[in-house]
Amino acid sequence: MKNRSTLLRIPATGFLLVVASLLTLLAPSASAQEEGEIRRFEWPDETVELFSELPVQSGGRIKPLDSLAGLSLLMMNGKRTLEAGIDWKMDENGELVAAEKQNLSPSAWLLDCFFFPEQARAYRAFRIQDSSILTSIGLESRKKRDWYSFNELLPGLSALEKETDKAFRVEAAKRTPKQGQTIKLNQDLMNFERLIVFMDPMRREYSTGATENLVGIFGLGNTHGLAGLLQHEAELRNLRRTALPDVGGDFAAVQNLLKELDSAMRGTFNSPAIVPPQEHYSDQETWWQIADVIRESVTEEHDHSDQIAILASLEDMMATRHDPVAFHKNLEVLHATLTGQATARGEYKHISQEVALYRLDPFTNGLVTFMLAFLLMAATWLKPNSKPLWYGQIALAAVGLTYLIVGIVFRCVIRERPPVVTLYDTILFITACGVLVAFITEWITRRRVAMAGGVILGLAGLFLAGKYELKEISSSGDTMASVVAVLDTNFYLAIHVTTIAMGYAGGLLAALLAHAWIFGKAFGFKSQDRALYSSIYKMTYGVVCFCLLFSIFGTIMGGIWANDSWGRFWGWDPKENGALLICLWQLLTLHLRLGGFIRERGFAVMAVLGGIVVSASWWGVNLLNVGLHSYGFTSGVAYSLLSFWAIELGVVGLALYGGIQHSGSKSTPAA
Amino acid sequence: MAKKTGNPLIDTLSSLKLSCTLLFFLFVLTILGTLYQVEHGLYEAKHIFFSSWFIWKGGVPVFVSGLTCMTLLAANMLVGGLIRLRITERNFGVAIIHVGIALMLGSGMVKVLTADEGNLTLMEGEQKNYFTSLFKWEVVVWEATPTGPSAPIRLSDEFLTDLGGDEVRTLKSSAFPFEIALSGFVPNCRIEPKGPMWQAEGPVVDGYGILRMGPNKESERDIAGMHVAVAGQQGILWGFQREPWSFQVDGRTFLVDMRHERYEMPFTIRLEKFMKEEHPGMSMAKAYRSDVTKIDATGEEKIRIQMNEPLRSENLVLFQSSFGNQAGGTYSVFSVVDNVSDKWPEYCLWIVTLGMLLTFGRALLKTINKQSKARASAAGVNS
Repeated sequence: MKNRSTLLRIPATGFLLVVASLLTLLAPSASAQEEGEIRRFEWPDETVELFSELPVQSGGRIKPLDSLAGLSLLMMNGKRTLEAGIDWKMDENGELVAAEKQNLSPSAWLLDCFFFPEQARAYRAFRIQDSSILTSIGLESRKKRDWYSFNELLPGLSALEKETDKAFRVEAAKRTPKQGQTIKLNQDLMNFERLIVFMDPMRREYSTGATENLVGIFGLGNTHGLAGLLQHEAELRNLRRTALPDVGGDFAAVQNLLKELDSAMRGTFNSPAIVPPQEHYSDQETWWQIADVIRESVTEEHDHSDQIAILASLEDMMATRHDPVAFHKNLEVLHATLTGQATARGEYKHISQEVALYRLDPFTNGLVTFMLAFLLMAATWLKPNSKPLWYGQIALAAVGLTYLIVGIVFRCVIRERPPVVTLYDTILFITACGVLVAFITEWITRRRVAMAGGVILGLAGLFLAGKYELKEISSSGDTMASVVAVLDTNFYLAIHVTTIAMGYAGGLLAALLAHAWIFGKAFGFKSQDRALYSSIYKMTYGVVCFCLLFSIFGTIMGGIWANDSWGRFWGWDPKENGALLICLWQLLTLHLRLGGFIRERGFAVMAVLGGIVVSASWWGVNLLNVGLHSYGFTSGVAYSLLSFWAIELGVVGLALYGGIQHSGSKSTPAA
Repeated sequence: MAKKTGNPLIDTLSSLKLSCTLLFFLFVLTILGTLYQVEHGLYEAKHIFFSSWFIWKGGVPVFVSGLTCMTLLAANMLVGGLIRLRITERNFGVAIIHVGIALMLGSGMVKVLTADEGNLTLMEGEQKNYFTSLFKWEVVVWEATPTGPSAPIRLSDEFLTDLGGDEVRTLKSSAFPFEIALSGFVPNCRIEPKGPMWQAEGPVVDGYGILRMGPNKESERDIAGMHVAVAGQQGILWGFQREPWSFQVDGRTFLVDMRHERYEMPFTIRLEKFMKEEHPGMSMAKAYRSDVTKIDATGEEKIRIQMNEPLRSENLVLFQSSFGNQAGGTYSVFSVVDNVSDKWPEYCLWIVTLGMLLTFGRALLKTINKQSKARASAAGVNS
């Protein structure tokens, strides 16, 4: 597709300025907040469901609107659902207020953004983590952390842009948390603006009754809707080409019409690309935004009736938005048109799977299940011989693991990729592997220790995944984002990345088992049961071997991949070094054991330190921001990582102190 | 564990104490090298912590570096894991692992000692039969004759980089009626009009001097310079100069140039077309690919080089590395490595994996059997 020129060749201006001027038009006013702009009914479930399955292209892939809504909401609100309300009214200050609280699903919220933008602007959907951001842009804050509506933030928009400019001038690694949050708020507002202006071209009327010639083409009436206008695309193109200044009134009328179309186009740049492109275009993969349909229909000599049909359906939905039944019927037409076109292009196959994934919400459910398993585990400490508690714990852990595996499989199928592509994926996969290895270890040893480790790992992993999901969305807009060219190889992703992640899982589980040994000894838990501690030691040893096997295989395989993509087997890049550190540490641990230099306690200490090495390799090296693995760089986790290391060093200290006490008691002669 | 042989050298070289010490040293060096490259760049970090025998400070070796550790570790594995170890069914897997790792370290050593690395940049339609180093420099001298340039005489990097200070190296050739004196090599510099505020490296020539710069974090950005003297004429050579330095002797015109070292390939590569594919609706690259023609004595062959699919031929490997646009059109950049041990790590992978599967698989089966028996006997006692 050609560059996004304007219809009238008016100099381009920044997106925000255009949107700002558009928002001035939409700014709260008595007319805008009249009854007509407020939704008076609850979106019917079937309408929300149908809407959620509409395809859209975003972040380089086709996804359901439900995902776009969920990701946008998660990014700005911190949650996938929004506590909004129903039965909105104006209060005495002219502000929209809801009479009754209600939770909106992502798709229901997006429906409001598209069809009731004035109402959506009154939703408190923007989470402000630090109220000083509001102070710096001249707004009043309620408390340190709170949610605000777009309308509440609107007066500070220009000040926010200035603050964002200042923050961008600071090198990313040196930005303060407040600067980072300022940039994020600005980004959230821009994303929201793109959504609420989406239907703007369909809400407008375009002047078509200025001259007889125009009335002859478009029919009676002074104005027409967008689809009605574009259905005469050939005549419109002809008018644009032939209406010259010396042909009388047509020139001014056509210029005015084109100006109106141009204005509609400019306001919706960067809004969701919901229209599959025309088949004559060379760039067949990039879907069109509404602005593209307007421009191409007016300028290019092709039949765009398939694309205009989508606009017509949207226009009908806009016109019937106050009538849920008629709205649903028009939505059905749009759904049939869009899914038909997307299916014909082979791009609809994973939409229902993705909708199902987010509806199932396997990772939240998995977290809850592991939490329950953890509670049962704690109960078994109080009642060790209770079989129901033990079997309940196993069953819940199995359900949690199933949720996790189902979620991972869904993501693999949707992306047509192996399980680990992004940092977020690594958390899920490592958690699943760790819990699975814990199950196998428990099956072999039957000591209830490995199972406890598995439950704790499942709980911690899914908690971390939930926290990191938001960060990943903030940086790449998706947790199933498109990959850079070097990662576009399913073979190496499947072999190298998954085996490395399995090594990480082994290292972390070994560290966890070593904690059991250290804490048990330190707090005198069954201190006379030598067999128990010997068993934990052997488990840890076995899992360290597992870690080493996969780490070495994964590391060498990574070198082979690097040899194929970067031209060298080993380049001492930080990520490569991280993997090497794990191998070296585990080799050192096994050789120290082999040489008799360490025994059970020493092995436990080495395994805990191994956990630190794994975390450094997994997260630490990504913070350095150097090397060829730039697609894995991250930020904002340094504090958490350092805290983890400090705690683990504390555990090592506890073990060493226990060792000193133990040797002291052995050397003290009996009284 | 292996028993002592009585030979102190073999016993020390094969000891587990040495293994553990070297593994720990390598661990520490890897951490230091990783952190060091954040501020100083990869090239410096590699040089100090991994590809040197010792870490030097003020001309004194303060600690062993990666090369020493890896060499000793390879020896430790070979002596301890193969010579001293009495190979039995139990430790057969361990022996295989040691062979694999030693071979891998060996392949690294072979690469460090013998491989040439560089870049090949081609515009669409352009062809070359050589690639250029990113870090190494060479000085070339040739004569401009009416029939074209004569065969150049080259002085490679190893004969230039030691020419710091007042040392002078003289280049003689039967092809030239003069001697060329090279001196004052500066690894990174600019050539500037000499002013009062800075001290030039070596003599000032025609008002210009060599201004020494600190090393860049990315060493490939360093531009070297040095002095040249021929038949009483003084000149400055700089890696980024547009035209070679020229002079006349006996009415004949000669040229001297300083440039990144070039390595000839046994074939020629012509870039036919470069393609960049983006993810739909984004500016993120999905794929880079170059359609090239490989030309050698046997004829022409059309080949596509893309990410993760390099061209391998006669120990040379060409990888799609980068691309760009300039006035003449699009150009594609290939990383080129000439390395006889290119495929060795792959063989090592399978050897090591086999060894680990044998070792750990055997241990796992033994544990499972033991646990099963223990449970069975416990069940028997209970019943």
